Order: sequence, then structure tokens, then C-alpha cells
Amino acid sequence: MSEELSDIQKLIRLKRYEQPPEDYFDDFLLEFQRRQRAEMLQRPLWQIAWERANLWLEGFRVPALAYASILVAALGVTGVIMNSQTQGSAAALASVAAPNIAPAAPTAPVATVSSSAKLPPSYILEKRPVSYNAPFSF
Amino acid sequence: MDEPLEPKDDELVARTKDGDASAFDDLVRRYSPRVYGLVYNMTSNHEETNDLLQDIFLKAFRSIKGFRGDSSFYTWIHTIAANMTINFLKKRNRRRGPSLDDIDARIENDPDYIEATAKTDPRREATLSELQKKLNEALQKLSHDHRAVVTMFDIQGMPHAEIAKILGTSEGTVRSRLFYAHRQLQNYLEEFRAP
Repeated sequence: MSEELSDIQKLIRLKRYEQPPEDYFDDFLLEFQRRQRAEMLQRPLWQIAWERANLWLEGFRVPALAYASILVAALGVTGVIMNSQTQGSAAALASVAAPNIAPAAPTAPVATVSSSAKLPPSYILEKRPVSYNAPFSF
Repeated sequence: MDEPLEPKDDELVARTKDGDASAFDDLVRRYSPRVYGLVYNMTSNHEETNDLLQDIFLKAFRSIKGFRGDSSFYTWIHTIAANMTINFLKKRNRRRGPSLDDIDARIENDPDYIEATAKTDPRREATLSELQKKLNEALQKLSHDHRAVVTMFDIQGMPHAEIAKILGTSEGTVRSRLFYAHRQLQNYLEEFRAP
């Protein structure tokens, strides 16, 4: 039996004499380089970003399952950020919209409290000095 | 004067990971003939082998950053090649006719070839092309898994342990597949065996 098998093996081994043309492997390499360089130029941005993220994680020797938890955590953080941004923008919208909704205030005189509050204290004189008036009139 | 030492696979892999595409070219130059042999003997078609070989090395280049060096680059690239070829053969709807490479003229001096042709019916001398055709037909009748094992062990001379690593199976499975494949081949190649 082993001799028979050996006969078969000797026959099959003859297939190693089947060879591609002599310059095949040089041409193969040239074609490979062309395809490889073309592919490197056409890679989408997300793929490059994903690869770099993987490389960065590899540096920490992260176990395979940890990738899932990192992804979940990243999604959670993104959700929280987006939520807070939504609330913040709602508040901002409300504050911008408020003056439009409130009834219009009566127009204030030139010297108002609010405007004078911002200025240094000033003293408004009467139209006529007090001493010019007669103290008593009979 | 000593020839400069060729860089080791590990060094070429590290340089490729650092973005040196020419280092990967050296790996392609080094391994394409062997990987070609594996794919060609599984498909028996030169054009399909050429396309697959391009895809195999492109895939290896894309995934090399994930190659941690747990096995040798040799094992790794052969694993990619074997898996991709078996998948390709499973998906291939209609088998294309064989497109065989030329046989190296040195076969005529090989004692095994002389012995094999001498064993055929003396009234009908087997020609070289006839033997080639028969061998390919016989191999194509094997299942993909059996053909992979026969190619790696009988044609490429790999040890059982290496084949087991490449195919992700045990040495025992490799041996039993070889035994079964050889028994099948005996029937197909009856006329070239000793009377």
C-alpha cells in the first residue's frame, strides 16, 4: 500500500515542473504595484480614520471585547453632548424670542434709571435755582 | 566579497507597517512563486491564478497592520491564499476549462517521470502533454480541501504541521485527508502505476 501511495506521490510531484512564463513574476509585480498605488490613492477618509484609531488602540493592547465597550461609551458620550447642545440651543432660542413675545414697554424719558445706572452719578438741576425764587410771597 | 544579507521577513513586515511600500514589494517578490504554485495547482487555470494572486497580495497589504507575528509571514500569506482560493472555487459557478502552464523541459530528466512513462502500455507511449492532462484531471476530481492538502504536501513539499497551521486544522486531519486523496488518485492514475 505504501509503495502504491509512493507511486502516486511521485506522479503528483511532477506537477512542480508546470511553470508560468519566465518573465511572469516581474510583470506580476509591476501590475501589483500599479493596483496597490491606485488603491492607496482612492481610500476613503473614514477608512484611514478607522485604521488610525485601530492602530492607536493597538498600542494599549486592548482586548477584542473592549472595542465594543469603547464603542458604546463613545456613542453614550456623543449622545450626552448632542443632548446638551440641543438643550442649550433651545434656551438660546427662547431668550432670543422672549422680547418679541413680551408686550412692548412704554418709551422711557431721556433720563431713565436704567440708562443712568450705567453712567456716573449726575445731578439734574431744576430749571431755576432755588435761591432765585422769592422765599415768601405775601 | 560577501553578498549583502537579504532582510528578514519580520523586518520587511515592520517596514511595510511603517508605510514603506517597497518593503512589501520585496515580500511579493519573495513569496509570489510559491503562492502561485498553491493557487495554480488548486485552480488549474493560469488566468484565474493571476487574478487571485493579485487579490491575495492586495488583501495581505491591506491587512498587514493586523498581522501581529504570531505565525511566520510565510504561514500567514499561505493562509490567506488557501482561504481565498477555496472560497473562490466554492463560488465559481461554471468551471472554466483548464489553462495550463508549460512544463519545464527538465522534467524529461526526472527519474520519476522516466519511471512513470515507462510503466504505461508500451504499445501506446504516453506523451508529456497526456501525462499533464491526466494529472490535472485527477487533481480536479478531488474536493477543494483534499486538493489543498495534496498541493501543499506532495507538490510543494510542506510538512504536515505547517499545512495544519495554514488550514487551521489538526495534523491528524491533514494526514487523513492525504490518505483519502491518495486513494482516490490511485484510481484516476491507474495506467501510470506499476502493473
